[in-house]
Amino acid sequence: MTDECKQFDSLLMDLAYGELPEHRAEELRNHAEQCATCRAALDEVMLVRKMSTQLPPLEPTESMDAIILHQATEAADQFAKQKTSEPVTEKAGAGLSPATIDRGPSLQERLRAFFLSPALATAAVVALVLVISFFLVQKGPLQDKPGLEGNQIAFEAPIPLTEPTDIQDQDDAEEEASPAAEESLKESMAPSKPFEPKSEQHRASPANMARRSAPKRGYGSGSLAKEKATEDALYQADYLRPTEPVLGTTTRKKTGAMAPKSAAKRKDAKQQSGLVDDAPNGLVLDEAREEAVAGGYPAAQAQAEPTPKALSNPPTSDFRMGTDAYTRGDCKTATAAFTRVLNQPSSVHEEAYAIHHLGACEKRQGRCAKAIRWYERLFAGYPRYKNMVDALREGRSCYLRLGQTQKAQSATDRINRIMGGAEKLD
Amino acid sequence: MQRFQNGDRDAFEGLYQRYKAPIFTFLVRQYTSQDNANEITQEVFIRVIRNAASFRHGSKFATWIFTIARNLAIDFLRKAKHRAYASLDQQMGDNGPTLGDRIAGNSPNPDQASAQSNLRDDITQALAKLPDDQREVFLLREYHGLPFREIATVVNAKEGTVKSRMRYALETLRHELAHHADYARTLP
Repeated sequence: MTDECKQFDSLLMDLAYGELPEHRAEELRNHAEQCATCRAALDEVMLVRKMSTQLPPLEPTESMDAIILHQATEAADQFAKQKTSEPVTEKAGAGLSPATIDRGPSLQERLRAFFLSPALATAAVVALVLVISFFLVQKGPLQDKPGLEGNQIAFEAPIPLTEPTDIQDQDDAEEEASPAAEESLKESMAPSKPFEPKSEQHRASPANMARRSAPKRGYGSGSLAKEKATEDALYQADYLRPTEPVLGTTTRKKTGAMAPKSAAKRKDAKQQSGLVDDAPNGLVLDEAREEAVAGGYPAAQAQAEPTPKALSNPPTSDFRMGTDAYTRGDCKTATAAFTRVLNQPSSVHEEAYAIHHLGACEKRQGRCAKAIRWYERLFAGYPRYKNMVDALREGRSCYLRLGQTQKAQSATDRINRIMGGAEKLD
Repeated sequence: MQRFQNGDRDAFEGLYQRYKAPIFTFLVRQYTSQDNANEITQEVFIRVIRNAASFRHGSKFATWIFTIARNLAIDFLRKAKHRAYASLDQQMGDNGPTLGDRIAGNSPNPDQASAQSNLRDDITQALAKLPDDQREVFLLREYHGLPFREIATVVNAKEGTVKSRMRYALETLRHELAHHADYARTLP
């Protein structure tokens, strides 16, 4: 074998698949015309390539098209939103020419991408915060004060509460602020003694009676109180306003369902702690709302009538929800959504689709026996279901797993009839 | 892909239509049944959509998507390894046809006695006989047009190794399909 033949042999794959520069390929082809061995080697490769072209490409099912394109649309919208909210420093792709794209970004662009990456920015922010905190600790109020020795640390007196931050704090603040409550505070700060439930004498004491009978206000009476009342009113209004579903999305807007729950929890906690409250917590919120209404806040005014039952977020179409969940791989949500589809008025296609994907979810989780029950219901009840071929294939796969070869063959026969046009689908 | 990353809704559809069949074909011929390949293909595109923001134009899209497909298929097969399947090669009774013979696929009607049909069947069987690493290189180069350099990235091997595997695959196929050589020479 000559050197030229060895070179030809080493570059045979590149030559056969056109990955050589033209002048080099020309040289090798000229050599092949003169060398029978090399020519035969090249001919054999090209013959196999020719035979390989006889194998046609395969097509996947079309049922996934809608799911994937729907997801792509949502993702594109997300990208578009991010683009409009980001500060425009450089038009996307402006620095990348087609030639650059083919070769990959340059070192400059890689460095730029590295220093502009969100991860690096986050790390830099965290590092900065840590450094600042360190310096503040060094020079802050906890430094050594004159008169202290060694490592003694001076504790400043706690800052007294002036404005409560929520109802619980309001109650505590009122209790602490009143002179009568100071007495009980001193009692609680006395040297520790075994817990004793408060005696009847204590309960009937003037201080305690005064505290219990004092009207509970929402937020005090200052300017902060008005702000809090406005916030609360608007929050309540928002909570009461039904949210409209946004097409193509499955995000749920959080509503004010937290407010009554947290109020109930606070009530329970108070009752358990022995602090009996005459006024139910709900009164506080209602009073705040009434204040807001009286103040003329339009959102709250519209809801001045008795509070309706908390509205849960109106669901998006169950069918859409099930489809999205199935696409994400969340079979639990998909099963629940598709079950709801079957329990409400739906179109024939939606029912069939739901049954199909209930079976598919079972199959995904390895429960072929259950999956087959859904598939058989589909096969029998929705003969013209447009994705019947997919469902038959999936059912056939389950039949094979369970050893039901007769049924698998029946599925195959039905697939053949549909593909051959003997059986029509929608 | 760049247009899709910029929020162009229709941009992805072009990519999807272009790569849907190649990805599916690759998965069927290299790894698994059509049912499973459908599921994996869907998962491939969902992964592409979810990770679109992280796609950098340092490599070609084809390389990226085929790498995703290959990795997902390998994961799938690893999980499915322990499940019991009815073998498609198991004969139904004495001298009966195998289950695989009786299951319909996308290939032409096996009743057709044309040389083309026989060739297709023999190519399919010959491909199945190739070792996995040779077969995937052959499929990616021959049917999906990926250059050897890109294939090396997909399969995580050196370019020289990829060319060697291709060479061995071609030799094996030539040997398996030798009886079709005369017919193949008449093809355009």
